[in-house]
Amino acid sequence: MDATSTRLERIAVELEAAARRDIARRRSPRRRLALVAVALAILAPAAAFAGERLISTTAADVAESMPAGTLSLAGTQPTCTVVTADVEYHCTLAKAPAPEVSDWKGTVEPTVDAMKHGERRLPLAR
Amino acid sequence: VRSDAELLRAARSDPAAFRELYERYARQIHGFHLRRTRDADAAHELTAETFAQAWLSRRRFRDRASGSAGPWLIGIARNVIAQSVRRRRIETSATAKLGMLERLDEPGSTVEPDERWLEGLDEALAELPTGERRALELRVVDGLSYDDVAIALATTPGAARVRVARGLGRLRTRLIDDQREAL
Repeated sequence: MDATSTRLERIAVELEAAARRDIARRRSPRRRLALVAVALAILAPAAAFAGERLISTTAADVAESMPAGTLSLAGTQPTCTVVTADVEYHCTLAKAPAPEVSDWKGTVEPTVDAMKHGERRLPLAR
Repeated sequence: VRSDAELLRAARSDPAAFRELYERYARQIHGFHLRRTRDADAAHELTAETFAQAWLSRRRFRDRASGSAGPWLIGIARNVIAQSVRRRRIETSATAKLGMLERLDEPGSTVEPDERWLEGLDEALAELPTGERRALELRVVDGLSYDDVAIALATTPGAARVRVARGLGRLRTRLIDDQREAL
């Protein structure tokens, strides 16, 4: 197989894979949104932040800090409710996040609040 | 063997059908791009972009060339070249949209598209005998029925059909010659 054939074959493989992703994405937009809404609950372990107040206490501040800290969450319009003040928040996205992360469960995402930027890391849990 | 039109219909929900279409035309489309860019990396990027755009617009395909998707794909390839020249960079909007760019991880082309890429772009069509070219334009580009093509050319629907078929045959031969020349 010559170099051109090899490269054309790679395009074929990636094209077919991209087509499968595209079809899957278009088939279940509502399901994806529902999954995102369920999967995104922010858990900030109190022990990890002992001695300092790491995030703002209002749920609105937490919601605002999410897209500021994680580019993939930009434009998702999160809204949050307090589960345990300064510890746990449950957040729901109005729009699906960027597709590069297929499963947000257990990922750790930085947030940015008004006091300090780029260092707050909150584990996301189901 | 399924026709191109049948493959594209199936490809609305079946990526394997679209791949089959790709296998039929990848060499021709690659040759088309290589002949114009004379750059291997650019030709591969443009080939990927052509088929990515074809995938995204497959529902808009209308069978106006007796089941062949060749003229439709060449039209997309032509637009990809024109878009690249206009923007002075290789057009990659569809491959990016489908998330193929980073996965292909190909060496990016360093050439800058220029006006020379457009030279001869329509010469294959221009070289057809006038009657066949007009019949092809009316049928494939304007999307007229054979009855309407016949009226426009003051001939019979049967004769219009023959002109379109002959024009397509000549175009196909020309594209294969282009490909051989480019390789």
